[in-house]
Amino acid sequence: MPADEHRRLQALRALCLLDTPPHERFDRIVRAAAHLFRVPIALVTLVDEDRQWFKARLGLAAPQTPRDVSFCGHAILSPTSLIVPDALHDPRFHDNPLVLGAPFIRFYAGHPLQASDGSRVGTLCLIDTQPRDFSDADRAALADLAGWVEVELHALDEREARAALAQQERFFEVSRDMLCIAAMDGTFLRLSKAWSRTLGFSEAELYATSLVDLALEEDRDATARHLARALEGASVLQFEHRARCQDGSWRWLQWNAAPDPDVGLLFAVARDVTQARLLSDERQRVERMKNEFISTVSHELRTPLTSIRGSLGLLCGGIAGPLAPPVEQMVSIAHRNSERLLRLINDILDLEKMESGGLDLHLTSTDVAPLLEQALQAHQGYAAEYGVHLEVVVDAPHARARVDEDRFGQVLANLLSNAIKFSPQGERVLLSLTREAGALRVEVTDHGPGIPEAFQARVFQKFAQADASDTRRRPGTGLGLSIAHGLVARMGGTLRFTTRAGEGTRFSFDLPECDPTPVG
Amino acid sequence: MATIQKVLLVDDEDDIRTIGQLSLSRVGGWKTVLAASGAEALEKAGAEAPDVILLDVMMPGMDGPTTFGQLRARPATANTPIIFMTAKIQKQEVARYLELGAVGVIGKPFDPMTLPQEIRRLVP
Repeated sequence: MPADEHRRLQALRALCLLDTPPHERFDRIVRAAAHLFRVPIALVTLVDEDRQWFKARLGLAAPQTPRDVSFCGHAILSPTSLIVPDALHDPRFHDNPLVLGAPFIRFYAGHPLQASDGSRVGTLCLIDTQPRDFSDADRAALADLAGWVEVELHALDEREARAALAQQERFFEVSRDMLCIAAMDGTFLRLSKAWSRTLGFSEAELYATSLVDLALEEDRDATARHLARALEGASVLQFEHRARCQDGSWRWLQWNAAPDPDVGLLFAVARDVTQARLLSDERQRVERMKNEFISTVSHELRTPLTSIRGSLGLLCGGIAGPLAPPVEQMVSIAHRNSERLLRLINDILDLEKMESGGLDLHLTSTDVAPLLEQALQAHQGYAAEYGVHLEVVVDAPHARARVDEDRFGQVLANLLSNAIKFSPQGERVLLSLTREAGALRVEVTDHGPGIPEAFQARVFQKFAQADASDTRRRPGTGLGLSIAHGLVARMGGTLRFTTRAGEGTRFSFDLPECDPTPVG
Repeated sequence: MATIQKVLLVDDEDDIRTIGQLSLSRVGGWKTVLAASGAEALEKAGAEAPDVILLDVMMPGMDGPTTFGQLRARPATANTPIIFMTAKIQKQEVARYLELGAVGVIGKPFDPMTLPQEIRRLVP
């Protein structure tokens, strides 16, 4: 085995010739060799890890033979030719199966082939079934022919290198991103065509500037600092800056650069992200404006509403003296609707906060059952209005979960008020707390008409309300379930429902149970 | 629990002062003093010595928290229980006012029929 076998195999594989179809460039050499030396078999062999494979063969049908019986395996051990005048009298080969059996080798002459790094990757060899003499002139001629094979091996290398270079050139021409190779200080050494296309400068103008000078003046120091990181050993530089254009405008460029300190070069790609940045800035501005608008409008609405609701509340409360029955009815309608308007404004504010990420929940380990009791108590009056009975069942007393008490109450209020609104008179609404598969399950069950199938997919959408044409109209903002869904998610659960037409609906969510000992 | 006899209501909105006064006097049965600004609040608080001050947060000129600071700086009102009223009732804000030394925060719009009850609950 050659001492540099690992490197030799790498060089062989780098040729990319193993198992390729025949090439006339090699075939004609073995033809010439067989003719010149008057041998029946001539081969260009490549000695692989455990086989010798024939890149070109004349007079032999097999495409390869095992390495351990090969003559060429021996030939590559030395830089000079291996000559075996009569294999039957050579102790190395006299019992070789290729000698004793087909192709019955008696004479062998092989000259090693060197890859570009000097590794001996195979041979040009001659085989005869008769013993032969091989003169020094023959040896020299074989070495010359082997040199011809090597030229072809290297010619292949060069062609591949040229093809690769052409591909790289093409890439530099067509890439829409701006490719560049620069010195570590930002001096441009190689620029793709996209630079001129994007910034409008001629190539000469671009090569006369540098990565730092190309930046808009305000961004130059920062750009230089980014480049300095390459000298400090950063493996990747990622930054954005504004680059000047020929017409005086500028573009946002997003840089991805890989410094190679060994060769002192930066291999970089810059992408024009101007449009994306403008869009993103605009989106953020609109989003901010929308949130500010909602917030301001909602707060501004609350001030007059305080007066309206307050006045009506005082009238309803009899502070201004007893009201005549028709007046009392009208004032009560106005009062009820002012309450509804307030709920709507509060819901819109909550939703806005949820969407803008401004909703802060204060999650603390809390005994859950009392929260259910409180919700039940708070809705007794409302249930009585609809003639509905509220019941609470707690199968997990003292169980704790990390919740925001107020927001948890808000979720239950939304679910309970829905359940009450949609229950027929005399029915009951059940609020329960159980343990299911290691989690705490909260359920609100009603025996109402169920959620129409067509509406089920939209239950948690904003302003979603089922078509009420065939039932009595239920007051509501259409935001409650959307808010409840968002709040439950922020407490670590998922609000879901099951429903059956004519039998009722159950909303439920699971929360992870906390350690029984109260925390903090 | 301290006995409440006189409440100072500070709010820049005329209507809210009117409703607040009706609530505090008719439902609560308290003498009610009104102020339309922070400056007026300082003046009235000094002259009337209220038992409780109900202080709006968002007011033009001197806002609620600034007025609060000035009231606390004067010996006559250094210990008077003060309740903030705000439309932006958020936990962080409530926490901030309680930290300042307010006895509580009431959200707007308030219910005039239960406002006195709420004040009694908050005043120690």
